[in-house]
Amino acid sequence: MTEYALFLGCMVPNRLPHLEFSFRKILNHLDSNDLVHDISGFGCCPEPIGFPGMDNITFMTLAARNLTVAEEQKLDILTLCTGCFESLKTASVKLKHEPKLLEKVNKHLSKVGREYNGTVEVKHIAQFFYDDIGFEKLKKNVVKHLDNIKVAAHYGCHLLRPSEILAFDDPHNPTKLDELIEATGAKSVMYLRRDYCCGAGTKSLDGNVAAEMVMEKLRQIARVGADCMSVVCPFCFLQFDLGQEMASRAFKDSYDVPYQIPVLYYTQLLGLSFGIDPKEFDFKRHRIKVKPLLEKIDAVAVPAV
Amino acid sequence: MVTRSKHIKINHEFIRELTKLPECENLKNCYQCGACSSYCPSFKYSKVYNPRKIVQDVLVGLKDEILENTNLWFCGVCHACTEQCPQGVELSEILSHIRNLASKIGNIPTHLVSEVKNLLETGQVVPPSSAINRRREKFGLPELPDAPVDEIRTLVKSTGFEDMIRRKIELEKAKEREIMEEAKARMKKMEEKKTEDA
Repeated sequence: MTEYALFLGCMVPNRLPHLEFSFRKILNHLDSNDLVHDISGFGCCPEPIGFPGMDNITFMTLAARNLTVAEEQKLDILTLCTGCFESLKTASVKLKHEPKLLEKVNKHLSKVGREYNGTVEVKHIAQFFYDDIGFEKLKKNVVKHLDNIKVAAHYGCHLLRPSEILAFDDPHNPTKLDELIEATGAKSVMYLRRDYCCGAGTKSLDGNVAAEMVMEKLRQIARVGADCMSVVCPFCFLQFDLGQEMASRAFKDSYDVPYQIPVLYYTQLLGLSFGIDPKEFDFKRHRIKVKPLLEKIDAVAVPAV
Repeated sequence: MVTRSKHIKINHEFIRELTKLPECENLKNCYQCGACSSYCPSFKYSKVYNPRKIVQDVLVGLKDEILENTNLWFCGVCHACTEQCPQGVELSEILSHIRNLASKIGNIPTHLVSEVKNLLETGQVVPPSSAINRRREKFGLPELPDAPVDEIRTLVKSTGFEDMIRRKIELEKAKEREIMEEAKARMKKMEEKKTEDA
């Protein structure tokens, strides 16, 4: 089995530790702790929106530095954030196929006594559950089928595109996250604008543009009657959780607001189906209340045979 | 370079310079169908960021207008334009490269400058906080290792990035000074007028 260095990034450990907890809890529950290692030495991924726009070589060099940290330990990289995933995967793919770029980057890296040899693969946890853990193991651990809830999957731009580089799933009609959600027994519902951006990338420039993007997604999700959303990125999480509250306030005259669609990180949803006590996940940290969802699950949840 | 009017400068070299780069070589395949903009969420809601229009401006050679336009930064880098382009134009790569050129002349939004400051001080864009660290303890999460700030600083110096950001900060300070001085001059004039009137 491939072993990974866990790349926490910045948003998960420094703002949303409950998401990190949910991943570690699941890993522990699946008895797979030995697949994922905590190592020191990682820096910023760096973030894939502003940095490549400011200076591509700096972006590549800082990303490659992280790759060398994993390479030293002969480990691949596993990320909890789709932003880290895009940055590191883009660097790993490009540096593998563009020797001139690798040479340039290594010249900078030599100043800190590092060299990248192009051996590190980068994976996001969605892919990890899909390929490495596998459905058989996931389903074996489901003790509480979430049959009576409808979940709206939000993949996130940086998990899917550019598909030529990230190669996670079909960018126009992705299914992997839906399959992962349905492993819990829940129904993953289709909705319009499924591949739309959460808006996090424009938030710092103009909060209204970001809020409009959030509202567009929520409107479509509310239309199909989803009970909650499932995301695999801390920025998307924040955008739909805190952002939902803020956008509902900002658009209280023009939409059917306030929306109250709980947002769950995928490993939190998985945890519920594994029968882990919801109290452990500290759902009170979520701005959109999760309690109604938990009550709905408990109302008719059928114990798995 | 041909000057068509007082305001619009056409630069025919710009497209040639760009298409020399491997990520921009298929730029000329664009036939302006607008699939990129129709799928662009930033275009839909900001109304000021229009990828099709930027490519059009590149094709006709409006280099200065493009590079000085701060709306370039509305791109959320969702790559929908690249995926939708029927001509295989790698739009998000091209737009990213254009933002690289814009950055060199100081067209960088202030929130990104603060991001860089965070990076150089803490090694991360979203820096750690003591309150969150206490919460981490409660969850039984491992202590976070120190970020390699020194290595990051050395690298951004080596790539010339630090200099570029410093120039941008100085540019901003100069602009602030200019505004202040203008305001002072206006105040002075008003006071002079007051004493004259008196």
